[in-house]
Amino acid sequence: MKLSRNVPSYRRAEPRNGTRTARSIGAVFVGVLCVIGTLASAGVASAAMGTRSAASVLNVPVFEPFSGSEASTGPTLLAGCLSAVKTINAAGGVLGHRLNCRSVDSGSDPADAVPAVSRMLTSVPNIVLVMGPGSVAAPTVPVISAAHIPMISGSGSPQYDKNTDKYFYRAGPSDSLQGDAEAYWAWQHGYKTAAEVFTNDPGAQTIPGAITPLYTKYGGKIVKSITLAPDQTSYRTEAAELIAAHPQVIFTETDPQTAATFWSEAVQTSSKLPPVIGDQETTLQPWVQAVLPVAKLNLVSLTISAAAPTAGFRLYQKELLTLSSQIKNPSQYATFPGTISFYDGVVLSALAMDAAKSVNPPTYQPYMTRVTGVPSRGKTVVYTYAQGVAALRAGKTIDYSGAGGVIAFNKYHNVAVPFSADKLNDSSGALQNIGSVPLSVLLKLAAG
Amino acid sequence: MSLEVLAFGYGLVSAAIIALAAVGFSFQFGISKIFNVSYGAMMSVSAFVAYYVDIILRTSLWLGLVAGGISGAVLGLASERLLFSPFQRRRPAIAAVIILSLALDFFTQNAINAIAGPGFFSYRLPPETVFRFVGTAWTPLELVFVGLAVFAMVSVHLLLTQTRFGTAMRATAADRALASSCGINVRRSTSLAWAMSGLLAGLSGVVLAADSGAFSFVSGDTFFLVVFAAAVVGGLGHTYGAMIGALVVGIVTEEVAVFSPSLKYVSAFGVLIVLLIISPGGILQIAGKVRSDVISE
Amino acid sequence: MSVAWQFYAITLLVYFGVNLMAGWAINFQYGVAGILNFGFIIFQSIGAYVASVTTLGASQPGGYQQYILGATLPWPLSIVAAGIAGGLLAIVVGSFALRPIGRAFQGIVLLIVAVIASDLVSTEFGWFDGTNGLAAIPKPLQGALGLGLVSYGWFYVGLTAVFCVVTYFVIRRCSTGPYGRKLRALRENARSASALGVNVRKETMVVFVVGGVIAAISGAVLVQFLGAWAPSTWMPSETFLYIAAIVVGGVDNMAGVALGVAILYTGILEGVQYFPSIGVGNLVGAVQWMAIGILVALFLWFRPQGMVPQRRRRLSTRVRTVRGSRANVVGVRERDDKNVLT
Repeated sequence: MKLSRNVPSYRRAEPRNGTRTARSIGAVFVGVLCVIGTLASAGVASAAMGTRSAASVLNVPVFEPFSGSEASTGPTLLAGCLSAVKTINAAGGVLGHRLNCRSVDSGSDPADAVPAVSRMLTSVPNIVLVMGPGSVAAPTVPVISAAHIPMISGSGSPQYDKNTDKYFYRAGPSDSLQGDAEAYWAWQHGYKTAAEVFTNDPGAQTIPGAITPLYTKYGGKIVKSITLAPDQTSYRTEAAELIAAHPQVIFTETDPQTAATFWSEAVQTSSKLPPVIGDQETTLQPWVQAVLPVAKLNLVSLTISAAAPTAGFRLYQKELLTLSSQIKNPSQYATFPGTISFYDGVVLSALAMDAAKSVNPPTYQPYMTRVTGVPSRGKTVVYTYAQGVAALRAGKTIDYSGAGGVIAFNKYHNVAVPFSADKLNDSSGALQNIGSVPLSVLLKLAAG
Repeated sequence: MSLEVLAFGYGLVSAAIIALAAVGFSFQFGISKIFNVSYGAMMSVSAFVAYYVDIILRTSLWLGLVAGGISGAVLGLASERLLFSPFQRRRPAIAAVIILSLALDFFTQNAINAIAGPGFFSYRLPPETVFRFVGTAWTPLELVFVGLAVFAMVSVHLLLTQTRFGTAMRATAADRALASSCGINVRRSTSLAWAMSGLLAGLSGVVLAADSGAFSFVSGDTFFLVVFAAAVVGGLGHTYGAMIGALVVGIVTEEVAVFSPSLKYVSAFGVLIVLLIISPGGILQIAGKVRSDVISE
Repeated sequence: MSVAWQFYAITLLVYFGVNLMAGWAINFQYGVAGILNFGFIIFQSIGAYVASVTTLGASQPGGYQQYILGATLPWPLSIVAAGIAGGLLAIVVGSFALRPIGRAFQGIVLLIVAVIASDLVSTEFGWFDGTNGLAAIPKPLQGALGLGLVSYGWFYVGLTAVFCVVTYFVIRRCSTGPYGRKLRALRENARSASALGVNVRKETMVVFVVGGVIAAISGAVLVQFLGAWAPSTWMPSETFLYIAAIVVGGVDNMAGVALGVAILYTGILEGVQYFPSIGVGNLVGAVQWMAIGILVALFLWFRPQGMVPQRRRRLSTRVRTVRGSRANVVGVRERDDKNVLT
């Protein structure tokens, strides 16, 4: 029950006429619309596409999340772009132009991504290539494509397995391929029962979606499938359930924070955990460092990293370690396939520009598949940008085999590569290659 | 070892952590009649303060716990003195106060985000041995947390019933105008109550962060929903209600997790809604112990 | 003129239109009728989801996204379906949330409903493809018109404008005149209004449903522009942004809401993106929210009626005799100098 109160002084004054204010606001709004319209038609040319001949710096924006729930993706992939650009500029740039990486935050959800992509296209001048988009690909790919700029995406969504957009290229394997590789490996090693522990993060559910059908087709049985809500304070009961189902192997992908909580509580329930199969996320330093101190896991990660290091790989690592002023702790990405594939993506695009003798995106785009591919006679295999430029000047046809090995785009602009299996050494945290899933097997699986 | 019994034990641990926070929150509501949504951010802040003291300054988790508690008390006192009480004096609508506390919540959370970054942090506690007891499993640290929660509950009870301060707070909560005319300094009682509930928020924030393997700037607010559910389920404004509510919510969530991990917290919220519809005064109202508009100890 | 600038302008305008519709809807519920709907965002979201699944066609087993209710309805029908879904959800939620349990508790219950909805949709991948969300949602009439990205964009701006205009007239109709007065009486003091013969439960439900339908339609318009939708787009905290917009702009005032939406969404949220990126990338996001928090607090403190205050409605003391009738018509507007927030 309110007591009576004094009427504040501003109430006793003459009341404002709301209609008048509303009208003036309406006028202001219409005026703003006119200004926007005038700007639109007059043509603000500061960020127009196509004024490239005079410019000497070409921009390669990294359009990935740098904020929100997926904020860790941005720096990981930016590191790849930055190391590539260093090697390219050191070798003289592309046709006299220097390249520059720009981080552009796409946000972690579709509604933020669309204004972000518009902002990128209007405020970043001289874009020749877009690295990204990843999880926000769906609404933004058409916009970048309409601007006729090639993009190299790290998205694993099966949505792009049959991609027909000529500007869209995928640097990493589809999640369906990843799931196939994991199921194949588990079955090959005689594990007849398995459990799945994945978060419900975007993109994390497509992998078990691919594992389950293939594994059951082989004759295996998924005895427990657990979907964790990420970053919660306790998973004790879920961990106990997992152990109680007695799987012979566990497939997993979770973010490091969830992993730390989950595995520390799992190890309390049972000190002898079954072997765990992960993917490139479980090779990341934050993941390893979160989990190792609290649980010693028998972990094998299936990734697309090359089995044997090449000259390109050594160059990539060398450049990566010089980035500490721009990237926090760059050495954590030394063997991370995502970063490596972004490095390779930028280098192959630069070589495509050299081969096409043009930095105009629609012109060089067809050359991206011409400077890569499965090695064949008549093509000179090159491992670094400098080698590639030299070979092109000598009139040769090149095949860039990157830091991550052979790059072969199929007709859908997806890559199919062999998977390597890396075991985690649980005292040092280092990775040790113990085998692979060959390309022939994967191509057969992908065909169905 | 049946999973349900195991889950019951885990539920007790959850309940202890929730209870620490829920009692503080309920107390705050009792004395000032506002839904302070920024309570969760207070928990996050104390978790980070403890991290700073424990890991950056390289002392110990216990010192971090104390530091976290103090930071909570300071924050509680500051937000009451500088923000909520002056605002309350203008007699705003309930909606305005909730929105204000939401604004404070977003501000505080994101201040932590700006300073510490969006990544996750951990107190890096080593793995421990597990004791099994009648089908449940415990680690020493969990037992400490439960002990701490019980100690806190008992202390709060004694404070409220045996001391002059406590009686003054209860009187202020019951009827502010009457308490004032009885000579009780209501402003001081209110500030003291907020400092106390802030202390509880601080302690629970650190305990929460230590119990999960890792925490980030949103941990407090995410957990706050569960704390809020517990406080309301028990009966908002009543300390014993908060304890009962914490028990109910803690055990229900872990038992539901046996059947479906993803529906864990959804079930707690479902219980909350059902209860709110039946009786806004929570379980205590159903038990006939209180009427929903009388807030006391 | 550059494709990029045009598309940016198009994006800002469509977003403004959608937020305007949603802002008017929540203002109708809150500013006019006093319903504190902290779960507002789920109504916009269900409209988006229903508009998506009714244009995506049947869900393919083994396809990359799974969802319920697949269909391929022609354009206006998907919007209609979205509106119906919003209305139905409002009826279901309203049936238990709108009981007389006090405005604050009502708000909290609705917030919890939003949290539950967000949790459930995120974990049940069979409903709307969980956290992956829906993608490749077709744009309305794109095949029929065959326009390029930018031309189609301007067409869509026009479409959004039409929806805004219709929404404006619908809400204006509902919030002025005798019906509007009834609602405001309900807002001020439900018990007195009830004593005067206002059926509180029915009127509250009607307002809730109307707000829900409009919110759902705004979601449908937005999703058919974006082409994708996911739980991360409709976190329960998004409701707070709408409330901040109406607090800053002016509660119970449609022009005020427009101003609030312009300031908050186009002004602050876009403006902060242009800050030089200092330090870590997430600083910008953090600063955004801090700024919004401070802004709302300042407005609540110093100017709770918002930038454009509620219209004063004065009771006319002149007595008019309507020609041909024997009745005396007294007063066309009524005094109303209280505000929901003060």
